[in-house]
Amino acid sequence: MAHQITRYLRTGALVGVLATLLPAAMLATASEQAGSQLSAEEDLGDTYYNLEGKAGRVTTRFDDGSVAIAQRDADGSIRTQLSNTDGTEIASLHVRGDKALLRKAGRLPLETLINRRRQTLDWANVEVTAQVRGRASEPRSIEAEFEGGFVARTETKDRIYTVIYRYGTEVGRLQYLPKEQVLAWKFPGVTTGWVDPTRLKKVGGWKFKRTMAWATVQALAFYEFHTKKQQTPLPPGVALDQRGWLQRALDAVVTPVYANDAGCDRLHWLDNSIFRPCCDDHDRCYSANGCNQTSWWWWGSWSCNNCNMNVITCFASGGDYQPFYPSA
Amino acid sequence: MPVAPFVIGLAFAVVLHGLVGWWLDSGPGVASTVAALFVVAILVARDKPQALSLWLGVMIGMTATLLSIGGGTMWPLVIVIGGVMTGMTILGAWAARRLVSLNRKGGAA
Repeated sequence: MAHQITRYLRTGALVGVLATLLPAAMLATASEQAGSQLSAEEDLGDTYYNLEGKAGRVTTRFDDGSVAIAQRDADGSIRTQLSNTDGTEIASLHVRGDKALLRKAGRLPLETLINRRRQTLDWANVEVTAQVRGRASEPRSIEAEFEGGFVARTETKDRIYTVIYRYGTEVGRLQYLPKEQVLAWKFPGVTTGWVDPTRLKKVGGWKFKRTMAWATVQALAFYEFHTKKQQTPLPPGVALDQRGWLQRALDAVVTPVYANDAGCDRLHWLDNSIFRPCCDDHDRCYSANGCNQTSWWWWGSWSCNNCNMNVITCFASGGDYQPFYPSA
Repeated sequence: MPVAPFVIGLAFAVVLHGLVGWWLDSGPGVASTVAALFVVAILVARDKPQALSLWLGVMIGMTATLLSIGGGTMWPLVIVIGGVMTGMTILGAWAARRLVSLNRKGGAA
């Protein structure tokens, strides 16, 4: 029975991840074959575009200081305006079906054909910039306003970092580390976890390009799908609490923190410092090995001790230490 | 060990948390705590035992506060880092007070 429950939970956990992260990746595989006829467009699947379609407005800020704001009209067409650093409008683009009307300041309007099946607000922002500059510009940040009061803000430096709010209150955040190809997320009370290429090996690894626009939609996906999943009852006889009696007694005294805060717990003034990677590695290591705050003093697994020794070494060596952490 | 600086340190940690929240969670929290503790230490830590007593009071108050709000996954590091920062602040205040005192004595002589 215990074995069956464990198996169910493992399957459930995998399904949970698949339900929120992988549909896009799997659908991307199917559409990649068809996508070869659609120029260089990468199709992320219906799930992705359904969620993206909930965005009414996307603001993209570029490295050169220009800002593009795209809005979706009731008829599905997209209007985007590009402004320079002082707010002066440089250009606008109106995309309707396969036609786009480009207006540049001081020039006659130009109608062009769009060879793109999936038209998204973030794409329109990048497109208008490319039309004006004559080259693709790198977005520095994206802010997407979705229906239901959700606003997702994504920034990038050495990593992609998204925070999602609902009616002004933060409901979760995620970050993607390009070098390690690790995605970690935390939505308090909803879902917390991480995936890396090792974990994704079962489904063939990452199958699409991880971009800021994807992270913005992915954040909404985590919240929406996991909130719905929580409302689905478990079959009779399956309990969620798999802790031993001793652990439960201990947890009753000291509340365990399985789900870490993003960044340095109780040391958040270091979140933008060189110590941040130490904290993130420690969070991932804890998540991978099922550790909690009692792992510092309670006789537990060697893996948790390893996590703790690594974070101490990392802090002691000025934050540049890259520890090894065992994968789950 | 002097009791008064210990109690003042203890009260400082608890009252400060009530005012600004957990002090190590933000830059302004750290700056205001260090500044306030420096002033308190200047007034209270007249000698080494008093400075030590003040620091112990702050540490115990800080640790109790941390445990009451949930220490997070790196609580021993938080205590160590907090201890080093408060210790350095009190030490700095004591050294400053001593320097001023020596200057006054030198001026009077």
